[in-house]
Parts: sequence; structure tokens; C-alpha cells
Amino acid sequence: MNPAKLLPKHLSPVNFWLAAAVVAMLLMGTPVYTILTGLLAGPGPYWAHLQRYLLTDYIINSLILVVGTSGLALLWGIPTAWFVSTTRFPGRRMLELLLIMPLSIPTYIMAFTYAGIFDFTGPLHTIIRNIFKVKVVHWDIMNIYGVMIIMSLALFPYVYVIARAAFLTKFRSLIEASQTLGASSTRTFFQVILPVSRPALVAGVTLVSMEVLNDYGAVKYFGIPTFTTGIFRSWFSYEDVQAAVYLSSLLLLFVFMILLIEKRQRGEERFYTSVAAERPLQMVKPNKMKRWIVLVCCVLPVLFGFVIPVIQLAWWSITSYKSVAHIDLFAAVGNSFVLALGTAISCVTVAVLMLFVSRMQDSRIYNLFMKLSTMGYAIPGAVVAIGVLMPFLFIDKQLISMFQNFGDIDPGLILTGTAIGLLFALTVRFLSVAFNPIESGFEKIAYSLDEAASTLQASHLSRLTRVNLPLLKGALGTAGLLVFVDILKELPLTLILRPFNFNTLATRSFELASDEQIAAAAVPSLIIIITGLIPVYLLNALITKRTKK
Amino acid sequence: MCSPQKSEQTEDPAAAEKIVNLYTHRHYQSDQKLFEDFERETGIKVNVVSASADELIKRMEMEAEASPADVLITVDAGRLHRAKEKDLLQPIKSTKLEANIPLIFRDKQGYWFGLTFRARVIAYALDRVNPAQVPDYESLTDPRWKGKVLVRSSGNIYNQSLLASIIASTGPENAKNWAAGVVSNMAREPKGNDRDQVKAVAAGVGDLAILNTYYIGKLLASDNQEEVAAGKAIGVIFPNQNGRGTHINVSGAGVAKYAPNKENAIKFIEFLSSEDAQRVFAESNFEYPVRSGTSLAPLLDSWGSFKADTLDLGLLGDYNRDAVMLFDEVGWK
Repeated sequence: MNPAKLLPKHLSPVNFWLAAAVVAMLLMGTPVYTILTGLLAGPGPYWAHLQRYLLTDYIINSLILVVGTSGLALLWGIPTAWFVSTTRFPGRRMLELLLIMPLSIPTYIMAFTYAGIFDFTGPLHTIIRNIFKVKVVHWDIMNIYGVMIIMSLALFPYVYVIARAAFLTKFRSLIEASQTLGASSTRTFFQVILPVSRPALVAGVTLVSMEVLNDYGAVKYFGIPTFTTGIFRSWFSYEDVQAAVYLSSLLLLFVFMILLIEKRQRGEERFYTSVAAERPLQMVKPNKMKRWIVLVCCVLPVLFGFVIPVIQLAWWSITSYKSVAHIDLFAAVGNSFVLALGTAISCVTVAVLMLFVSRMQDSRIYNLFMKLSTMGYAIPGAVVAIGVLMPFLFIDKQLISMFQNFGDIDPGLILTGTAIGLLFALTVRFLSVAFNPIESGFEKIAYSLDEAASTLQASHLSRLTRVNLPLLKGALGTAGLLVFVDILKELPLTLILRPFNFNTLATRSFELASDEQIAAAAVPSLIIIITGLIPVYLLNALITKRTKK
Repeated sequence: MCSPQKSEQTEDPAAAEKIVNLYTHRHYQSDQKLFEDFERETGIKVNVVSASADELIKRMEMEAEASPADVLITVDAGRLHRAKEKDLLQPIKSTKLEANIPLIFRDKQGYWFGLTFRARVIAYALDRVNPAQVPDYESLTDPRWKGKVLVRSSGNIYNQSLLASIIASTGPENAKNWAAGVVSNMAREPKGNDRDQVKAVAAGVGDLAILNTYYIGKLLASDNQEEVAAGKAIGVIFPNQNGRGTHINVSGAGVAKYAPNKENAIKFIEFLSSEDAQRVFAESNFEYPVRSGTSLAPLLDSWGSFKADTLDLGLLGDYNRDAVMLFDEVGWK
């Protein structure tokens, strides 16, 4: 039973908080609601065609990609998180940080880069051809398995970060108990840690799955038809909005199932600690042979997920920097930065508001709508963009006619013509990224603290700012940084909704890549990665600091 | 940071702002230079949003009369035609444009004007293929080429317009057979971009590739010597010279129906059809200029002149959906 139910009546939130949270939920849920209500309108004239020729492919490919990528992400993420948390080996401190770094590389850029490396005219084949003088068969990675591996390399840090945070904080006592009882590190991992860390793993996998489902760039380039492909095809080629909506809702159903699984997995996990035992974990020092194995296990994902693609991008940048000299990249850096910061702040604020109210409201209906409103993450960005444009343009047009009635002035499109609309859409889309860490942060705060505060007649605001927020600091930081990195990489929404002359690093890189100038696209891509390293570094500091006070 | 770029609608055109708002699907380097030239010449500032034509058309549709867009530029006549059908463009009467741009490259009623054109050609492996055996698109379905044909996915607009042109000239039944024939001859599942098809020919994955002309130019102008080598290993066939001609498509512009800066928009398109601008298109992006008499890039020149399909380009838009559905039916991914 949720302890919130035990709260006395006077603790239920005043209407202002509830009203604010409900408004936020309705706004954030706009695209999801639009899509779900679209279901009522029926499947559209081209649905039969789609079902007959394409749907099976979409479902099978999406399923294979989600399962395969998640599996591989676990494979790269879990053992590495375990090793850097519990084992002494050379280079551990550095790898601890490096293992998060693939997060700063956008999936589509990773895909383009690997395609380039394995390309017939790329470095691998060229070297084999020209140095070893061997005529090799074209080794083609542009297939579903290639996408799977590439995506897993770009996305495994989600699993790694969450698993590591769990190993360092929640399971320390378990790990130590197991060690005290003389269990080997391997045995502790498989028999104690793996079973209890399931909820953390599922949370990581959920993020990975959503990223896989909304990807468009990588699957399009590799020629793999997925749900996203189908949505665009129905929408633009058939001009059958209903079919697109139907597909999107199928996709949402898919996501809803994933979220349900996550919820069930997390059901039993409730750690209410008000004071965490902050002592460093006892590190195991294995023998030399084992140290080497551990080292290799941790180096490989970094090598393939970060070092190799970055070297390739750097090489391309060196050969082609001249061809991007005309582009004002400084402005793009500034725009990317401001947009990422703004969205991070707004996502964190909205998530805190919604969860704070949920903490006291504890209504099933409220919680259901809250979950629904965070599902925008799985919807392809372009669909969110249009879902946001609709209501915003309506408001804009009302404003225009209002202005014209009053003073015969045309103010133009105030929301959609400016960065406001873009910022809002990005918040809708990335709310989920901020939501998950903050949600688990809230869950870790004992209700007794809230009760104590309210016994002392503290207002809701002061309970939030003086009791909850200080305990949430770590979670808020993690949430904000994850959103920040995501926005640096974000493409489709920014592309469609941006105001005139507004370019970010991601849009610059995309424009060059879609012009088939992959090498030139490397320059802005590399800057995205370098900029992304700052939040990634901070993220690592946050995770480790919490245990090393 | 970014205020809405919309002029105040007053009766006096002289009071209009010196701007032109552009929604464009083109993001070539050469375009940037042309915009700067235009600004210098006229003092009219070019404001740009670039995204895919489909998305821009959707945005214009939703913005309706509040749209700040003055000019829509796409890389496909079919999309311009679609914008016209959706009532997003307005007809323009300009003697300059009519003089500069031959009739086959523009809408008869002046809703849109082609600025450059590109041919969808067949590239072949110089060392393995006798080009005489591939005189037309239809010969790509010859069982002789089983496992040899390379082409990108059907989601690509250039493929869609190619099939639309085949539907328009030979009927849906023949078009479907053609697409099915190509699928059964494919060397691999469709993937990658146009350049990747040439590289696959160089790698020996297949012998014939369908692609747009300017990508060959870009490959040959690459900084990577291996790409240049791949470009040199292929020859170019302009298909259907003894029949309807090679399929061409235009990249072009139309004035938005609710353009707040209509006069500037017309000036802008006229500028892009000027001799100087046309030369920039031709030289830096390996596109064919629509304005006759403009000198070509040396590479295009070396291929000589060719007979282009004179099909009404608007039909590419009319048959777009049918083309995509045929692709689905025959399993062209």
C-alpha cells in the first residue's frame, strides 16, 4: 500500500497545486491525446494497403530492434557498471567516466560514421585493399543487425548510468553483506545483485527502447522499415493522416506495454531512506589475469562506442573543415546551448510539479494521466512537432485577430514563429527523460519527512523547497543533464519548428549529411560531442559524488 | 533571439520590410552564397527555414493565412505541384521568369518555377557492362541483370518521381511490372543514399545503379581519393534516348499564397533565374541550369547533351501516391 494514503486529509494538496499540475499534464500530453483520440476516427482509407503490404515488416523489424538493442545495451552496460563500482583495476577512474561518453554521440551520427568506416571507400576497406593488396568482399554493415549493434553502442550508457547509481547507493549493503559472507565477486553479481537490480535494469532498458522506437535517421539510411518509417509514409506519401495516427497509436501501445512491465518490475522496489549511509564501497582486488579481463571488458564498449567513431569524425573534420568555413558554427553552438539549457530547466520544473502533486494526491487517475503525458518520448519527433503546432497555431491565430481588432497591428506568429513553440515541443518530447530519475528520487524520500513538515504547519511550497528539493538535488541534476545532452542531439523537432535563421549544431550536421556530405557533417557533429562532454562529465561527478562524501 | 519575421501588412508596398522569408528543402552550400549575393544586390534580407518539403508544406498548410512564408523551394516538381494543389501557392506573372525559364520547367499557370534540373541516370561498371545493353530504364528488368541492380529505398522522392513518370507515360500496369522487375534484379535490399550506390558498383556488389547526375559530380570532386576512384570506375547512361527521353526532375520555387512580401518573393525567384545565379547552380552543385545558354560544369559538359523526358512535371505530383503504393505492392523497400 502506498503510504501516501495514510496522510491525514489536510495534507491533500491545495487546489492551486493540483490545478497547475493538471494544466501541465494536459499540455504535455497534447500529442499523445491527439493520437489516442485519432483512434476513434477509424483507420483511414490506406490502412488496408498498409496492413497488407507493410505492417508485418514494421512490427517485426521494430520488435527485433527493440529486443536486440536492449539486450546488447545490457551486455555493454551491466558488467561494466559492476566492474567500475566494485573492482580495482588500472584505469578504472578514467573508464568510469569514458563509459558514459557515447551518450554524447547522436545515434544517427553514429550510424553514418560506422557506415562510413565500413564503406567501400572508407578507411577499413581502403587499408585492406591498398596495404595488404587483398581483394575483399564488400563487408556490408548496413542491415538490421548493424543498426542494432550501432544503436546499442550509442545507447548503452543509459543502462550503465542507472545500474551504476544503483550499485553505488542502493545495493551497497547487500554487496558488502555478500562479501562478508565470503561470496566471490562473480557469485555476488549473479546471485545477489542481478536479481535485485532488475528494476534498475528495466528502467535503463525502457529509455533505450524508446530511443530505438523513435529513431528515424539511422533506420532510414540503413533501409530498415520500422514504425517510424510507416508513420512518415502514411502521412506524407499517402497523405492519410488517420493511418499515420493509427500507426502512432500502435506504437504508443507498444510503449505502454514496456512501461507496464517497468512498473511491475519496480512494484516491489521501495527504498525509503531519509539518510543514506554514505561510505565508499569496499573494492575487490582480483588477480592479474582477472584484472586484464575486467579491463578489456570495460575498454571494448568505450573503444567502439566512443573512441573509434570520434577518431573517424575527427579525420573527416580535418579533411573537410574548409567546406564548412562559410557556416557560422559559433551561432549554432550558442543556439544549441541555450535551447538545451532552457529545455532542461523546463523539463525538470514540470516533472517536479507533476510528481510533487502526485506524491500527495495519490490518485490512480492522476497517475495514469501523468504516465500518459510522459509518453511523448517514444513518438517520432516530427509527429510531436505537428501535434504541438496544431494547438499553438490556433492560439497564435486568435492572438493575431485580437491584435488586429484592437490596433490594426499584425504581430505575426508569436508562439510558433519564435523559439517559444520549439521550447514547448521539446519539453513535451523530453519530459520523460527528466521524469524517470526524479520519480525514483521522490520514491526514495520517506513520507515521514513530509508528514513531519506538515505537522509543523509548513506550507506546500516550503515543504517542496525545504524538504523535498534538497533531498532531490542529485536526481534533479541527473535529470537536467540527461535532457541537456538529449537536446544537443535532437533533430526532427528543431528542424521543423525552428524560427527563421535559427540553426543548431544538430540541424547543421543534418543538412550537410542529407546533402550526402558526410565528411563535412563531421565538423558540427564533433562539436556536438565535445559540447556534450561537459554535461556527461558533470553527470559522472554527480553519480560518484553521492557515494564519496 | 528570434522574433517572428513577418512584415506589417500595410497598403503601401513601399513601406514593406526589406525581407523575404524562405521555406526551403535545399541546403546546398551554393545556395547560401546566392542568398548573400541577393542581399547585396537588392538590400532584401533572406530569412531561411530549411526542412524537408513534406514538413514545410504541412507547416504552411497549418499556418494558412498567418504563414510568414514568402517562397517555398523544393527539390522535386511533384512536391511543388502538391503545394499548388493544396492551394498554398499563388500564380505569378513575370515576363522575366517566362523569358528565363523554358515552359517545360515551370508550371503553365505560373504557380511554380523550376530553377535547376537533374537527370535520374543509370551508372554502370566500366569494366563489366556494355552500355549498349542498357539503353533504357526498362532494360533494368532484363533477367540478364539478376542480382546486379543497385538503388536506394522507395521512401526516396527521386525514386518516387521516377516511377510516377513511368506510370504517366506507360500506364500503371507496365509501371508495376517494371518495379517488380527491378526488385527481382536487385543486388541487395535498397539502402544508403545515391552516392552509396556508386560505391557499391565500385565494390562489385552490383553492376548498375540508378542515381541523380549531380551526385557523380560530387563524388568526383570529393576530398577522399577513394571516392574519386569509385566515381571514375563508373560510366553514365542517359536512358531512353530513343524513346521518351531520360527522366528529369526540377528543383524549383513558388510564391506562397499568403506571402507577406510578395514583391520581394518575385524579385528573389527572378534573381535565382538570372544568368549569374544559374551559373552558380551549375558550377558549384553540378545541377543543370534551367536557363538555356548557361554554361555547364565541365563534367556535365563532357557527358554531352541528352534528350530529356518532356512529360508535364506536375504529373509527378499527381502520380506520387500511386507510385509509392506500387513500390509497396512489389516489395521495393
